[in-house]
Amino acid sequence: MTLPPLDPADRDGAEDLLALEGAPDLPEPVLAWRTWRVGRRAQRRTELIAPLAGVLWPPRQPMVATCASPNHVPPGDRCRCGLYAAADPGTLDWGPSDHEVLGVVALWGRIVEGARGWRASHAYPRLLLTGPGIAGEQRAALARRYGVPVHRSEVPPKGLALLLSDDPVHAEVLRRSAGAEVEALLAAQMPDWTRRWEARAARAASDVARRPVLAGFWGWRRPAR
Amino acid sequence: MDIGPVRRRFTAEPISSPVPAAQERVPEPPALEQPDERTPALPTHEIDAVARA
Repeated sequence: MTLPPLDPADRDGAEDLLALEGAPDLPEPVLAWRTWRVGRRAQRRTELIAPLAGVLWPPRQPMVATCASPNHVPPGDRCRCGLYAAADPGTLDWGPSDHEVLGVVALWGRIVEGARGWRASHAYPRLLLTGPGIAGEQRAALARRYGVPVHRSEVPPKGLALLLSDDPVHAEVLRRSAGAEVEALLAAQMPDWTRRWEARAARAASDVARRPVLAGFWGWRRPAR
Repeated sequence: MDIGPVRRRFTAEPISSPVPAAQERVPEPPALEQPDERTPALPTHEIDAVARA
């Protein structure tokens, strides 16, 4: 389906109110990549939280975007509101928490498409990929509460996102598949991804080890004559 | 994150809801049903809290 390009002259926020009138452009959700943070405290271990906004994504209910502006319904074209997701997992932002997870999210309702991703009015997680720091019991509890598969990755989610960015064929399979197909792909690819991730980590550690030498070199100043 | 310059705006209305129904059970991967050997088990009181959540 070819969608009409956005007319720059039609980007006033009030026009957004008309966006959902008539038949929808797509009969299916947009599937894209995003991150969540999993609660760390015992009472919040089965909660998915938006990393930047700190807002809870409700289990078994659509996450609905809100905006403080009275002039448009989220997502506004010239506003930053909406529920975000990326086309390339390698472009996702990550916080310092080791409890962040990678996942595929379904977006629907009103959607603004950018060059690197989407902002939507409605969203719900489709599958989650957690790192080795999240225990099996917590994964199972998350899966039961949200009703979506929660898979284990031996590679930390941030690393997995980078590896998938370099491996678009498998990233696409993960993005579009579900259940046993995802589990089979992870089982088949994880040894290779783990090896590549460990090699990356070793290179990064080596770079850090060399950095003081370089810093010393660049910090050197020719004595004034 | 930044999605870059806006390209277009559209609507999507899935035929079937992406939100699982309250009674719908997710097919849990086999790994979820086995003891996790690499990660330490939660203390008992935390497992209880997870089960209650």
